[in-house]
Amino acid sequence: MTTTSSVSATLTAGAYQTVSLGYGETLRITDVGGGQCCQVIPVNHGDRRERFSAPNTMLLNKQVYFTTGSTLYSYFCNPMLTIIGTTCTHDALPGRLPAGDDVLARKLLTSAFASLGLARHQIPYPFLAFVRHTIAEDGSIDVACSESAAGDTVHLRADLDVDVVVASTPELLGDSGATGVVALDVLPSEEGTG
Amino acid sequence: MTGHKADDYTHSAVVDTVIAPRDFDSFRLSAGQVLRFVDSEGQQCADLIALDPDDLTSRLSPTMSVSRNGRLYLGVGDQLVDDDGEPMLTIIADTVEHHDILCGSCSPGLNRVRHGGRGAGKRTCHVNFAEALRPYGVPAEDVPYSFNIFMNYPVSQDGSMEYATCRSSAGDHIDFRAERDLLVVVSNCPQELTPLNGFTPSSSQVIVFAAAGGNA
Repeated sequence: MTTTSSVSATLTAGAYQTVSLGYGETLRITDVGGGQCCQVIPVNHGDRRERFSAPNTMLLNKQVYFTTGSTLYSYFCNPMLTIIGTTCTHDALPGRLPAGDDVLARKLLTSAFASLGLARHQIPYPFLAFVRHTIAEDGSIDVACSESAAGDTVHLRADLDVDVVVASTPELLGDSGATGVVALDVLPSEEGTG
Repeated sequence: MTGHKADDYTHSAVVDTVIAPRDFDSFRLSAGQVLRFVDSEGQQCADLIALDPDDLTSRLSPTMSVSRNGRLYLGVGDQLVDDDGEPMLTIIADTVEHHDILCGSCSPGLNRVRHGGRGAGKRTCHVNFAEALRPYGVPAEDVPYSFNIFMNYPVSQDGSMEYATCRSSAGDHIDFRAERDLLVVVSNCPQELTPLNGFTPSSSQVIVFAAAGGNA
């Protein structure tokens, strides 16, 4: 699997890509087929110890659903990516998941992180593009649900030099029938706004 | 289960220790042993991590625990599992029934962003865990996320979240049964800049009971 910079790529279900972004560059992820699920994990390009943190991101945004203006924070609480435009919401919540249903997703991320020199236990829980889990009042949480339609996008601006692992994992949505096809584009800073 | 009735495991404590405000302690549990955390003075939460002592890359996974149990608020009968979904701890008694599993641990970074200079140099759960795991060769950036006993950090249905003071009172407790041999670290949460511990961290007690059948 390749590492890209300033290129466009298309992911299909069960594939991942690591995209290098310079400070200020923007990664645009487009849901091509509708109803997709992408795992997105930024890692500091110059310091692999600094990786995405879902807990810190939820705490510092005071919100579990993310939209334009939300910032994705690292384990050390530094901004890594900011959503500068999106046409739907996203989260970083774990969903109800029967044993075995996440095997492919975990294998994908393990391969992606191995290519970055990181071990399986160092893989953080991801930002889930196009995904929204519903939380009941009693805290019950269901299988992940995608609310995105074909053509929906999220623009993630790099707040530092960062390598972003993106994996297309529609199996996390259960039997949704999602194709897993998403497009990745790196936009220079002046074109990044969504 | 409010007002849990003590079961027979409570007659045979093999460890009974006080954790001072802001401090931490580590415990080696054998399979079947029960760890009880007691809020001694009220409104005190604690962060708990668990690792396999024979493979420190196998850790309690809050996200996998949510996935396997299907809910954010865990209680009696629910299991805390590792990254592979294998059970590590089972909650077998709980007098509060309100904990957090999403928020991880307070840290110097969180204090810096949320409290600026007021947070500088303050003790945090992450610092406690890093100190506890340093002798095992676990670097600070690989400290796993925690299950947060009695922490009151509810998520509203619109997704907003805001902390509030723990609901625990003096004497409230939660019991975890080890499903296998474990290294467990308990950080008596030092956070004093938010309402979580009523702005005044206090002492707690940890008791480890022998496994049913008598093995200490």
